Amino acid sequence: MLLQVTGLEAGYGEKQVLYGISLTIADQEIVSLIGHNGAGKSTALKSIVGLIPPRRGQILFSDEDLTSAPPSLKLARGIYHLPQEYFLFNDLTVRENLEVSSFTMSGQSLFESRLGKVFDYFPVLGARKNQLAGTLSGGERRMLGIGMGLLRQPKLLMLDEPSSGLSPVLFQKVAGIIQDINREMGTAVLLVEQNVKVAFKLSKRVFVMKAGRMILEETGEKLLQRGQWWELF
Amino acid sequence: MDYVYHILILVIMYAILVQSLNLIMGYVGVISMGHAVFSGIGAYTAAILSIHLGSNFLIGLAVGFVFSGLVGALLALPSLRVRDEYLIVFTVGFQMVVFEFMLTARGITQGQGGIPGIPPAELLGISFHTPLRFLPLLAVMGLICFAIAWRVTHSPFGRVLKAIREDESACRALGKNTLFFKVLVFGLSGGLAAITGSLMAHYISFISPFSFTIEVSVFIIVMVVLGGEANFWGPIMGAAILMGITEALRFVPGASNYIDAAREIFYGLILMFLMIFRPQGILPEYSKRSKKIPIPKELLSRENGAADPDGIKRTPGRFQEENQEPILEIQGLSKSFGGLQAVAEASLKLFPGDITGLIGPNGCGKTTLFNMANGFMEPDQGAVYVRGKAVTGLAPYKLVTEGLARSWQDVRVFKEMTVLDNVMVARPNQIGENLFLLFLRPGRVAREERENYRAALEYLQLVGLLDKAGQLAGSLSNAEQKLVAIARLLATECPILFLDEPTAALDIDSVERVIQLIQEIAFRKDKTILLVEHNLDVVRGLVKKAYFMSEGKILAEGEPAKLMADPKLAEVYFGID
Amino acid sequence: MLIAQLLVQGLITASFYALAGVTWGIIYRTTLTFHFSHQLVFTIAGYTAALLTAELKLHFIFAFFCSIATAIALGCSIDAFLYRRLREMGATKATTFLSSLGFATAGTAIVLLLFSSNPRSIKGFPAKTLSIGDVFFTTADVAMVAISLISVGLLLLFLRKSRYGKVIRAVGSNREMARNLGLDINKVYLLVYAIGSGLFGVAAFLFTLKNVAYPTMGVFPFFMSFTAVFLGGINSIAGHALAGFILGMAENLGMIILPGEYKIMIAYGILFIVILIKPEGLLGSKRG
Repeated sequence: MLLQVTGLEAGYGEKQVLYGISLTIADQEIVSLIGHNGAGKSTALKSIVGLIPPRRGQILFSDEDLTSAPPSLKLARGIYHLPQEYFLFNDLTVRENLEVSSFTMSGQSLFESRLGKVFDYFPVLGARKNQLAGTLSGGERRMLGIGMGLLRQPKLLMLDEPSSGLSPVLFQKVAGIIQDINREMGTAVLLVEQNVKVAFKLSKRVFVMKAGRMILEETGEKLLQRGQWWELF
Repeated sequence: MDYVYHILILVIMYAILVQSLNLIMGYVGVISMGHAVFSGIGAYTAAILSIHLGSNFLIGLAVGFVFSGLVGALLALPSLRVRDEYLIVFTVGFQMVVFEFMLTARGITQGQGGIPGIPPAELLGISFHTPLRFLPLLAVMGLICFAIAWRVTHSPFGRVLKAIREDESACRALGKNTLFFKVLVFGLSGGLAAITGSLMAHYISFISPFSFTIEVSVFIIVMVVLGGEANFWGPIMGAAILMGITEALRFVPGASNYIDAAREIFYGLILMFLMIFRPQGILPEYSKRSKKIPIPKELLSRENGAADPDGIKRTPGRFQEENQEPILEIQGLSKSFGGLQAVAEASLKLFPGDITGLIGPNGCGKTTLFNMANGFMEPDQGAVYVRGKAVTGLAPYKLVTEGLARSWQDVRVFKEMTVLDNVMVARPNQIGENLFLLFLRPGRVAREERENYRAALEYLQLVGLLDKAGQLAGSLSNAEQKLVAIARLLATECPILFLDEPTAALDIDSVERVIQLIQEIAFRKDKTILLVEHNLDVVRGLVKKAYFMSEGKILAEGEPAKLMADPKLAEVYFGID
Repeated sequence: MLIAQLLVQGLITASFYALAGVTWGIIYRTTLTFHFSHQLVFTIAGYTAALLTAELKLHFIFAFFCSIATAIALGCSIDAFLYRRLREMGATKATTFLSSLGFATAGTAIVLLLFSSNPRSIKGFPAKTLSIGDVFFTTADVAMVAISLISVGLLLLFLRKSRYGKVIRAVGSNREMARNLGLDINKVYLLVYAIGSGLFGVAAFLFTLKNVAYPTMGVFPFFMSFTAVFLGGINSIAGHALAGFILGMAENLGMIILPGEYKIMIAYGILFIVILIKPEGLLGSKRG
């Protein structure tokens, strides 16, 4: 297993949001985490990456205990977290955003070639590389966010609701790119999504959360076959 | 002995000055860097009036009080609408502008040299020109000023001030015109500071701009912070300690030449270290301790959260006749943010006694719609009617008067206030919040307080927190804080309640408790409720009817079961292929 | 006074305020700390230059670099030992401001105690009065305009083009994301305090060259620096420079209309009016 999370509890101050959740992701696997808003999905991601310190539980990454590791260490080990919002530097250009993303990367000489790869996946970013990130459209912003992650060539890419702010057509495109990245670069993906149909199609396995707890683990295929999912929310 | 009287006089004068600053810093919670010049305004007014018009010192005092109060209020008006940092900038600017004026407007203030020869205070033939004589006069004036400050802070008005300091938006959502409160307090604070200046002018017989420099403003701040903000005795303690140290320094051999510099080093270091080690000051805020709340016997004997077992099993919403008039109507509300249409022509109706839901996928615009309807965001187009009256674009505090109140997704209880105070501050139409009536009608104010006290306790009993009434709201668990917020909302007596994700971040048992409580409120208290929720279990269990939104538009309305059976809505909620 | 002379005075003051503005601006914009002790950095730098040239008879260019070094040392120490500690304790902005205020007050008084209020000046600088037509100015004035504007230009260039400049801008733009990407926020803050303090040291040197060093010399320049920042818009360093420039010109041209020295009233009047109309400042934008 690439990522093994067991019994994770976390919250903000006196507010407890996660009441002990567990999930696993294998190498190169695409896994989804779904649930109603406020179920704790974003908190789960933030807790795994270390933005919110876990209160209980364990996080193992490639068999290394990273439970209390700060975000910088998790990044160095290969976990890239793309938050749902405020994930860009609005006052910097597209290219500068990517530059800053690579600042703590070891192997600075690889930057230009990796940058080229990002522009291959997202040509629109290449076209707008000198444009301020704050002026990009919703879809372009999301692509830049993913691009910033791609640059680091992570082992695990954690995406928090990449569909928000995107039209269905655009999200289809982004979903396709996520699949390409997974296939070509071997990156595992943990996807938090509201657009469950696409999530089920993409993912090998799906974890369902409700009110801070994990209520179901199922394969994407079986869930797709259900046809309707109101009781999961 | 004269020396001792002189020290006492200085201590009392500073205590009044510091108490006046405490009103702003401790209670409203903003830093004012220009307090010295309010004192200066009082001093110059006193000097000019007594010398040029020969009027009695009391007249100069009163004019100074009013003039300085007005200046304070006027300064506050624009400053308090912007970020906190701007207030520092504006008050520093105010300090320096007035100081510059005192130095440069020689025609009025006689510039750098100051104004000598101010006649001593005189009343009924007695001239208060020695320290021994002046002390009792000052003591009386001090007592009056302290009494005013005491009355203001230990009153419904003071309670609102504390709530403003804790969370201004939440306070506005309870129906308080917070800007008005802040402006009043600034004015009162300025006025009280002017009294000090006035008295000082008559005592020392000479004033100059150099008595009202920014260093003096800082000195006053240190005294407030040292004694303990928002504590009534704090200013007196702070003034006594720092004046004591200043005078003690005089006795250090050779120090007399450097007394000013030494004093500044001393209080600068005190301020710096105080912030690191004990920012709350020496005396803790009195009201921060848990209180024992006397509870009337009848309430104790009633069951906690008197539940109506039938009511809980009842179908959501009350039965009512058709053709009833909506109590709230939203027509065609729209809002766009720089090209992005967040809400497009949304309309909905709330009927009396119903629980209605507002659901939809993330980013569908329900939060924007919710905020436009409760005054926290202005719509680009459209209208909101409460009981037929147009209330579009009204400020939140005005909407509460019209009968609409909201809760917050992140709860926002006033953490440093007791649970009881949290509920009491929400009570409407408190005459104790009127600064003038507070002093002119103490009997009515007291009677109203007793009534509100009882009402607040009843609401706490309804939500099952009667035994926690005296505890600080911040010490309660998240679930309990949500219950406090509900009691607080009920206390506004508004018939229409907007609940923003009331079960967010709650564990399953607490979610159940909140669902039951909301049902009970709607049924027994006859409230109309609009609920934004993501947890569909809650929606299924509570609402009679729901509006389904997507991409800013209301796509459908109806019973939850019906909505969830609609394949088109499922596509929207779960994503299209 | 001749309009041309006022324009030249204006240019001199404007350049100085523009520099003062960006020095505090870069600190505030990146850290959002109301760094009140900035005024002390100015004072210490000015005294360093004056004392080194007057007492130790060192060359004024050497003294120039020493005052920058002292400024950087003081500014960074305040962040490393005071502000960082308060950050780790989770202190509120108000608490940090008050602590900074305390330090500045105590520090200024210590300077007063050590050096008394007798002003010191920089010795050994070739001070000459020059003129173009009816307009007079000194070599110190030329130094002030040239070095101030060059410094502002270099700073803007640094922020725009260099790697570290981009990192500083990133932290100022979205600190959480910067943290998320593994950047050491404390180190970035230290860098920002070094740059801001160092440049304010330059300003102090230029100021002392023109005037003298005295204990409260930092008060007014500091005051103008944060006024320029709020006037120009917190987000935009170029805005700080522009606002400082406008304030400097207005102060001098204002003498045409107003009798006497109403410098602060003019500055405040402008700030007040602009904030009322556009609270984000001249070149500012609503913070996202």
